[in-house]
Amino acid sequence: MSHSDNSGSVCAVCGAGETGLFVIKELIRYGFSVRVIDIDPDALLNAANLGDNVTTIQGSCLSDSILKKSGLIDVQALFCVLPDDRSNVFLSLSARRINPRLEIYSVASDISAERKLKLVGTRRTVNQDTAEGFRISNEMIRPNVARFLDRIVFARENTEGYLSIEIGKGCPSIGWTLKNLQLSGSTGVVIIAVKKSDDSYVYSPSGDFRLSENDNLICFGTEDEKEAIKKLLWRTKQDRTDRWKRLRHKFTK
Amino acid sequence: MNRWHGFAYLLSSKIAVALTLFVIVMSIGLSGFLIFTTHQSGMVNQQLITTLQTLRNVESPTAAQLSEITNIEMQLDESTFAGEILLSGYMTAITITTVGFDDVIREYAYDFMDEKWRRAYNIWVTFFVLIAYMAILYVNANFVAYLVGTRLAENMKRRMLLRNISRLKNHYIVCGCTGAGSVVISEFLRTGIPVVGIDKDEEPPCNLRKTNGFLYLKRDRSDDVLFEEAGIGKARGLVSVLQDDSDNLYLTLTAHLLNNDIKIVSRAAGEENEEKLALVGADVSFTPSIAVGKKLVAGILNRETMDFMEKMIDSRDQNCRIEEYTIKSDSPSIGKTLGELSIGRKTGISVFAIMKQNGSIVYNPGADYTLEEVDVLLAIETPEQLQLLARILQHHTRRKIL
Repeated sequence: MSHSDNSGSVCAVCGAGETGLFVIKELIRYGFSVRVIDIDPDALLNAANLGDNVTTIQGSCLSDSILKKSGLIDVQALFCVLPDDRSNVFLSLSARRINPRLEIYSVASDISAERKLKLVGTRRTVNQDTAEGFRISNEMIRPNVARFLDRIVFARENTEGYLSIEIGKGCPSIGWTLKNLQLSGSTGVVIIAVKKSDDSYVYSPSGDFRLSENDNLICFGTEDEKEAIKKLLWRTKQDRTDRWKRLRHKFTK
Repeated sequence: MNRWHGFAYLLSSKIAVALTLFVIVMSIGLSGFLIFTTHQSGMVNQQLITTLQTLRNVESPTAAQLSEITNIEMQLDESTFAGEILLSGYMTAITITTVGFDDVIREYAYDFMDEKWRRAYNIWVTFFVLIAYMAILYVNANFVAYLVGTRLAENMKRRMLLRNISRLKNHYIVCGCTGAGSVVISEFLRTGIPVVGIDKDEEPPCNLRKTNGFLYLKRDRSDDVLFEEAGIGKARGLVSVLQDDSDNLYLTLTAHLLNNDIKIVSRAAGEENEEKLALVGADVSFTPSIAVGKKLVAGILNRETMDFMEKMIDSRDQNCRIEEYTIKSDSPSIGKTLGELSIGRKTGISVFAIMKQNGSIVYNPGADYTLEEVDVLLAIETPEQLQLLARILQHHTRRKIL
């Protein structure tokens, strides 16, 4: 995915606290236009100073009229970074009612709040303690993994790195095991995980893992490697027999 | 800590003083009672005294007579005032410890009393025994409470804790065990790294209380002493995630002075404090908002990648992680190829990427990849597999391949 096509998209950020300001900064960096709603004029001033494509709206995020005034109807995503969980849940719910297609991202301070936010249609919740805690522990015991993941997730262009290869409908490899497909053997690519159709993951799948429809193979590598794997996956029966015949021919000769 | 502190406390209690006084008064009263009644009833035997006098007047006493003299003297001695006080003490003791009372009394005084005195004596003893019994209960309860709940038990617990900590090395110290701190601690423990937690509460937060191998120190003394107790000299890292930035700063500085090599990661509640923390020796300092904000924004940028990454490094309920292993400059594995080391066959993991020293990443290194200094191997593995990998790469010798 390339991030250069974000110029047209608008994001709304509710709450211009410390986290809010950081989110605004990052969004601007990736080319989004940002609308900021907060009740505190000083905080809004800070937000407005971050860039040109920041629009500020003063008022309570919890009132529907303010949300409507801020033009939530044509916004792509909403970030709820209010300081308490109750407000975030309330805001998610009212925003969802104004614009059902809205992608809502919210912070949460505990697990029960996360569950409630998911229930009112939040796409992603970020637990503050968990986010911070894992950042610290990764920084301590696996700093390079943290750097690596940051690099992958915040990559500006995806020419290399994270690859996700879908096993679409009608793929001839459905029902084959990884060992028989010889994916790693012939391309050198390590399949690190398989995402099943119900969003669960199988990590480090063994050779006996059998592919099924709508699985996603996850690996790291270049686009070329991705193409190579795709080609292997979409080999028809005819291709395989041809290859086998070729090989037999070569060896018998 | 003074182990007698608890006893002093016990004695200084007003109730205890009142009860003790009462017991003393009652027992003196009892002895007075006994002296009075025995003299009244003429128990101090005039006959014995006359016998003694006649025996003493004998010119050359035989051995039998001499022993008779000592015998009578001993008997009379008990009837003197000092003897009575001793007797009263003795009887107080045997009464309040419920060993026995009646038999002695019956022999000495009870049989000589008339009906009126016996009744008075019975009433007196009833009250005395009841109140003394209460006093004993009170003292016992206090003593047990002192043993179980307070200083002594705590002292022993702390001494055990300190002994356990002194056995640790290459451990991590986490200041602040709630919120983010608890996440850090459980992640460390999951990876099998020993942690000493420090916080101001008496007990660690409940989600960590049952965790095996977690050592907790209360922050109730000066930070220098506390850090020494937490074994900072042998620790590998310090995490400071307290709410207050001045606390974080002070702890960072203290730790840095005590151990120069330790890696310090500190929270900076305000963005402007990051620099200050770096100045006093924090290797990494960041505001919580960055961690949260980054994850929020990552969601909109690259949702699928983020989803996977999050499962991979942040999930509480699964044990696999992307782990790293850095080839140190003195590692015997430098110059060997991955094929030679046959990591995959021995540990069941596959290295999917290698980060080079210059920051470039080699994806899917083949069997012919030659390991270099400061390469970082990335693979999905459990903590046990990581240990196995470390063992293979560190203790690898030529002999083993052949």
